[in-house]
Amino acid sequence: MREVMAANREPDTEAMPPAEGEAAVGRAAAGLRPTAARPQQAGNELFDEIEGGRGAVRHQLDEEVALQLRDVSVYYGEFQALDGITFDIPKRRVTALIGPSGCGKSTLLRCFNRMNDLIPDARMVGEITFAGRNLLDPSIDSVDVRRRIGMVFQKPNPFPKSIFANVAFGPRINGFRGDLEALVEESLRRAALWGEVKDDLNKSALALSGGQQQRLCIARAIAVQPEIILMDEPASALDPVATLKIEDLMRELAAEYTILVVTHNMQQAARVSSYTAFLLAGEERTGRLVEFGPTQGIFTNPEDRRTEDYITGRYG
Amino acid sequence: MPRTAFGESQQHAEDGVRLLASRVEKAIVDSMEALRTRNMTLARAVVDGDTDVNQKRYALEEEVLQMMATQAPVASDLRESVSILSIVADLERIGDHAEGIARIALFLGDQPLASTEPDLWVMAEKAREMLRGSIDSFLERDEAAARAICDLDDEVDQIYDRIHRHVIEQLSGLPLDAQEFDSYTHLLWASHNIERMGDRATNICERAIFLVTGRFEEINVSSY
Repeated sequence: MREVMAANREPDTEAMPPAEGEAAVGRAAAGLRPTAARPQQAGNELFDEIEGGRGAVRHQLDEEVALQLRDVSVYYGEFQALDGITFDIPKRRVTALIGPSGCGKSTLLRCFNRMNDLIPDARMVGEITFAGRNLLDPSIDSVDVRRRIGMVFQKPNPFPKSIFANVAFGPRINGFRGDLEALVEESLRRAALWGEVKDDLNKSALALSGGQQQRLCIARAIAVQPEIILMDEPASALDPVATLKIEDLMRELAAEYTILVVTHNMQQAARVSSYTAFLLAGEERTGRLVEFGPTQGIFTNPEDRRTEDYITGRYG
Repeated sequence: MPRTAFGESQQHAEDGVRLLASRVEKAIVDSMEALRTRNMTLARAVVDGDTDVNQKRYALEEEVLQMMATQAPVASDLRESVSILSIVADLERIGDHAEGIARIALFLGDQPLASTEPDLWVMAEKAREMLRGSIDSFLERDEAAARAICDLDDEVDQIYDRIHRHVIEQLSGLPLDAQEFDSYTHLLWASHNIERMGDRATNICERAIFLVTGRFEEINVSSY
């Protein structure tokens, strides 16, 4: 598998072209190199051709694709965590990744912003095409990727700084030269937190409630104007009211951002997402895609028996 | 099996559907028997028993609503819950049609029914068969059986057409006294009740198909 990665390596790098409307934000100097042009839409034949992509039920998107996954496998040393994940993630929609513990859904989420790079011995093979480039290419600048693909974690993790400083942090280190106050306000508004904190911007972020802290983390992610927001169990540490606020927010944010959410809460997946991907690991604990399609179909009439068993609670 | 509590409440609801259906099936048999033999006690029992059918329907509806609220079923579990809500309404209506036939028996008293009687019993037997078959197909998740039961509705409709034509011919052709006139209109009423039973059983088959396939299909659109 290392040969595959070596073959993908490019000697030089160049910055990714800015996405629409994000010229205002500074950009890391090193970036991504385009891979060969690939069709953004693939027919079933392509899926069938790809080794490891066999057997999953996949819905063909008839809308814009944000991330195109082709035969993505992840290894931690000798252990294979994911095998041949192949599907397309639509642009400006909420896509939920569901599956039992250990099926690799968080591992998959971490592939999208190269978070697995932080784990020694982790190897990723296959292709995740984002803006015409393979995110798994070793030459890709993970700092640039993480600006364009932000992440919100399970436990709110604000910096021990003021509310303002938390939101301003990303734009500052990216060399933002515009109106920082306006950017902070806009980000807090989009995260549905402005009304609650506008008079206390200098207060410590740690003084906020858990739900407010999580929305602050979302504001912090938005402030660097990403295209994709990854959310790993974003509401599992929150009470029901704060959870519903986060869910509302996710639906609103999907008008502008592509959102990928890992959740154990099946009702939450049903409530917030437009598309759902179901992953399952076999006895060897390697996660594979079982079914990907519109959430409505997955929760009313899934095509694969294993999806039905899992969402109706008969798995295991 | 995981989700034991849900599995149990689902089984309980399915048993409830089976019980309600057999209660309604008995109402069909008894009402026809009361009409055939002019057994006024039996006819009265069917009329009185309809209240019980209605109550059982609402109890089942509440049970399923509780299950949906507390267990949040999805996929085929959700389709089954929603289908039961619709099926109990159909069963209750079939019960009402049986009650209608029992009321005709009560109304007719000693008066004879008009001449095409044999058709009426055949028709009622087919409707009863449809009811039982539709519930079986639903509970056994048997799409093919559900479609086959729907075909029986055409036979029920054909008999209804025959009776309807016969009644119209008789009413328009002969000088009838009031009692004869009554007996023809009651024959028409009784056959209409049975025809509606067939339509309701078809509805139940549509739910069986929905439960299996996840698609809503209208089968054998009735012309009545």
